Amino acid sequence: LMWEWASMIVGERKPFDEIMEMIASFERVLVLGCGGCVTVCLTGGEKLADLLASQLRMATKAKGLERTVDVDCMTRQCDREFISNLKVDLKQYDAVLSMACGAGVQFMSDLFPEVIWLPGLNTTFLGYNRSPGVWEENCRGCGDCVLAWTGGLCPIARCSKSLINGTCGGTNKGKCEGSNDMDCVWYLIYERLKTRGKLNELRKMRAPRDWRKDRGAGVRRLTHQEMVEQEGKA
Amino acid sequence: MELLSAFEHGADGVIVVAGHAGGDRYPGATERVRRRVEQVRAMLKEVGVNPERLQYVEAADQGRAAMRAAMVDAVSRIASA
Repeated sequence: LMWEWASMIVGERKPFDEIMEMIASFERVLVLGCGGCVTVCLTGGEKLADLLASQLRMATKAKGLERTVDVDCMTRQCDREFISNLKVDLKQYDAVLSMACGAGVQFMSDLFPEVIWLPGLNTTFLGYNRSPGVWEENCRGCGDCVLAWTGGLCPIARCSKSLINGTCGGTNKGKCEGSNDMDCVWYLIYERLKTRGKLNELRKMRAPRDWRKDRGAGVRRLTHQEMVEQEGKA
Repeated sequence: MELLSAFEHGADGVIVVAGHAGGDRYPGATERVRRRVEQVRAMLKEVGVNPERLQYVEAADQGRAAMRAAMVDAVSRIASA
């Protein structure tokens, strides 16, 4: 069977006790699922929001506390277009536990600053589903992609040292010295380029990397000037 | 979700009944159910509910007597949880 790979922002649910602590002082809580990336990686979608809400209600009851925990889910929490998806009035709640990635939580928080937004997930990486139940990081969003000459394998995200002149001395029969579970991406790059007859790519001199594009200059922004003008006219 | 929901609404225990792995009509279904039960057990543990209150019986296709024995065993586990 061919597994259908899907790439996305990956997150994992925060530990249950941490979530309980976050909502400790709130009596009306909404768990808000996100139908985007975190649904695909099985951590923050409607179903998982339902499960978490049920857990929170059970734990609340077991502690003899008074708290209502409701659930809702939006198509995506990072796009104004989907605000109309909300089936509940956010003002009814003391806090909203968002199951979106960090971008989604902040987007909603900016749109509804009067509401207390809490993160239900730890956003972990950009990656894809390697096999059923397993997601793996493969992009760091470094701002200066090198995949063209590394055989489509990212050394920034997938090398423990983010080397661009690997392998290092720690490569071990195709595995990383950091962990035997982790492939040495520079070994993979070498093998792939060899298969393609493109090993000369590795012999080329390349200019030093500009790490400022990787958070070195603070918050990064993408601007499509033509769209900015359009918005201005409207 | 249905499993947790049963506990949330006051069930003392839940028994999930499946056929033995390999004998299921849909290949792999029994294994998937078994894993899902483990997932829910972990969730119950998180909220302070004894995971033994969720029992899994793999005897649906082994005849009435085997099924009855498995159910009696599961119920007694739930009762002592």
